[in-house]
Amino acid sequence: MTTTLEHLTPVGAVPAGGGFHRRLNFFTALISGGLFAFIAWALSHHFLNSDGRGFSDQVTVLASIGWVLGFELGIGALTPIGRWIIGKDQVHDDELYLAGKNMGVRRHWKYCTDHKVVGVQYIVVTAILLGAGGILAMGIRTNLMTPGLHFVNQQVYNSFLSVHGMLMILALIVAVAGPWANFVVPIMVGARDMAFPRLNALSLWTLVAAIPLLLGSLAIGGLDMGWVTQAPISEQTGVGFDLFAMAIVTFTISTTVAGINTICTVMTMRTKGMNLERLPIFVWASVVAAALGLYAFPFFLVVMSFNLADRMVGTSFFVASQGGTGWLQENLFWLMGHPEVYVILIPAVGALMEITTVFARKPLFSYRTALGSMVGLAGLSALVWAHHMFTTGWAPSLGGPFMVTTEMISIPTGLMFLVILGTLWRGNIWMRLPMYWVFGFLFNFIIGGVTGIYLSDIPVDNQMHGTMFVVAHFHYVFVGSVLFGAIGALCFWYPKVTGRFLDERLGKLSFWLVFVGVQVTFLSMFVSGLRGMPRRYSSYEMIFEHTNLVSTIGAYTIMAGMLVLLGAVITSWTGGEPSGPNPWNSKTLEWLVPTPVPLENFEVLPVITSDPYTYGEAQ
Amino acid sequence: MTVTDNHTEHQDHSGAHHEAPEVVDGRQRLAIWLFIGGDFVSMGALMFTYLYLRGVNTTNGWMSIVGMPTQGRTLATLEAGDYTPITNIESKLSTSLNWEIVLALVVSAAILWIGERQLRAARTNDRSFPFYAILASASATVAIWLQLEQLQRVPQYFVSSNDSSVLMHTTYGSAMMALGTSAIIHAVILILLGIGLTIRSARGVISHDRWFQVRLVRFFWVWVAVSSVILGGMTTLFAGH
Repeated sequence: MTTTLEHLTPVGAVPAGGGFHRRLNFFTALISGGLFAFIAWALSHHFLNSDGRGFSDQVTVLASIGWVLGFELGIGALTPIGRWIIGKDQVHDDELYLAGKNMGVRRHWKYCTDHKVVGVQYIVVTAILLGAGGILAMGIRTNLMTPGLHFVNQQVYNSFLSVHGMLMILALIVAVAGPWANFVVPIMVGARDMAFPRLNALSLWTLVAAIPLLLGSLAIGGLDMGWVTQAPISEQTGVGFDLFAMAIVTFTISTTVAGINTICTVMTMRTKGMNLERLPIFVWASVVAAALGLYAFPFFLVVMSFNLADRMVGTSFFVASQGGTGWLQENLFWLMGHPEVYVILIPAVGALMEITTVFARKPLFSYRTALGSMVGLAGLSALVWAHHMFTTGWAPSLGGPFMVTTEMISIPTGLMFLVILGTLWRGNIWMRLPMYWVFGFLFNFIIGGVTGIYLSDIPVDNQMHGTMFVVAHFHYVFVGSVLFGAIGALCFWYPKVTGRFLDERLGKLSFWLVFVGVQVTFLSMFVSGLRGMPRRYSSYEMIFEHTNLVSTIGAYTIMAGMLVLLGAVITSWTGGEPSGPNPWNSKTLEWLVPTPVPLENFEVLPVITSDPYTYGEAQ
Repeated sequence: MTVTDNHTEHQDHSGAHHEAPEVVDGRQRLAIWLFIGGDFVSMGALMFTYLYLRGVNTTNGWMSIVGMPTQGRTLATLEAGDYTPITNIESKLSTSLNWEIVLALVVSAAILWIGERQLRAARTNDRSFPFYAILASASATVAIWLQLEQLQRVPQYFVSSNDSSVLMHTTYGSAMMALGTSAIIHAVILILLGIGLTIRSARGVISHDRWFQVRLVRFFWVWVAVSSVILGGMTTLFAGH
């Protein structure tokens, strides 16, 4: 096969370009990051006043800035920017090299601009984030297995709780949008790559740079607070918070760049005939989530910067005794925090809709309703943030309006649910592995959604807020719904990435373990909450003993299921049953290109002449 | 989804790496508008913070603080001598200096815009654009210098906290520091872009028929100037409580 890039270099040869990039990879990035962090640490010790306010915070933040800059330099992500400034743009051979042509597995360890490589890199990064967050979750659940167990001390428990929360949030933000908005969206719209391939790689490696910061926060003393970084606790906890906040600042830069790239790709790189109404619904989901992220994440950046400034230089944004207020922190945080839920949810639901049409062999039920529900959800999500603050005493007169907007959000959410049900209705359902996760999602999402409506009512929230009931609710949404969507997407597109099926037997075993585990863990957590067990506590009264033991057993069951899934992914990658280019007889573009997908995706750009979901129609 | 092959496109090399400059420009324009949109939200968060803190005025602390001004004192001298906290009514930061910063940014944007117009109007290679680009960068540098001056004027106080003294700022001072730091970060980006444009135009990468990148940079530059006007207006109109 010949593509516009490939025909310019001899077959099988690594392109002559690359220049400085030839010497750079993940390991040089680690070395460079470490070196820059050390230099920043040493310089700040030399120049800053060690008796001054926030000295250790300043040193930690400067060292982490050094780490990120060094890492980006070491991987080569800043080279294109530098070359732009000095007017020496990369030449065609450089671009070929950066695209990873003929470099084999090596390109996955480098700053590679091919969107498919970046997609695979996102899969690995997501797995690492989920794995690390999962280990911490097991630590938390083990500690709560029986009252007063003290598997870890309270300081460590609090740190586990904070870092687990943030790791999982970051993991789920990228779990669907990272791998699949990169791997399949450009192909789905008929493009040869993302709009800005170098920025695409930059966003991936910026995310990678953030992970050690987040995990490092545990190593330098941890942090005594929840993932919501509530002031004034976040102002008083140890230097672990500085790394935690810098990880988030770094992450917001990564997602902003990624979101702009996704929107530009879809809006400006569609092939001929691919008008907006012919876009596969997952593409729309990716665009809506990216746009919502552009709105939400700047608040994340600002609130973390204020937290750091209060600690480092004596500002008083959140210090009530000096004129600030913790309510400002809560407002800024939740202005990000609630839209972020839908940044996570919408791509997962979009992927599940895609799966449902293929395996029900039916067009998507009411395409416009699906799109409208996503847009409506995104719009409303910006108007509900204060329901997280019903019990804080902030603006009680606004409680009613926020209760109404929060209840209203169940309308577009319910419509998305109905679109999947309508697509399934009287469909000729082909029960392959991805469909298991669709049905699992439907079951869990009902529970997560309906309990959310309960909590949106102020009288109920006054009783339940701060209890394990809330924890169970959002875990049904995040684990039971989003994670199921992410795994469903993995099972669905796995053959396109690897050319092989994901082991169906192990996959189904994994599904049942995770599905049962979710019910066992979180249904009993609902009971704990209804009985009044507060969240975030490291120990509890005997009255909560049985439900906590059951929850812990359920959590171990989920872990077993995820390990089985990991095993299936690894073993199937090279040893799975070959799938061919279109094993599901799907009609969207990504399935109509060869597997493995060649560089630049299409030999000739296709022209689209019909809708994406013409299942059951005469050809 | 029904598709047909389009061989003409392939012969035209219309792939991502072989597109006409206008196509790439359109894409980059959308990207810069989206980036400005994200920056707009950040500015909104900063404005919300300023107005919210001023509005709630917790413990009457918008512009006053119970502590000792730091002029002429260090923590050591403070701890050695008397520590008699007083409530200081902090004066506003210089409004005129604020507007000088705004003016420097607006002038820099205007210079770049004029330079772009000259470049686009030229029929042959116009050698004057590097001059405009470097002048615009210089004006942004002046804005940074003035902003640093302003930040140095944000008063600090020794405040008693948990049996020790720490340096603090009022919430007004804190909000102004946030706005000032944000302005500096934006101006640094402008300077880097300006230097890039200068070098690129001097090397001939930017010319009278290849000016797309200048327009992209100008969009952002003008946005920074406009946002500085908005923030300058806000801090002038809504300073004291």
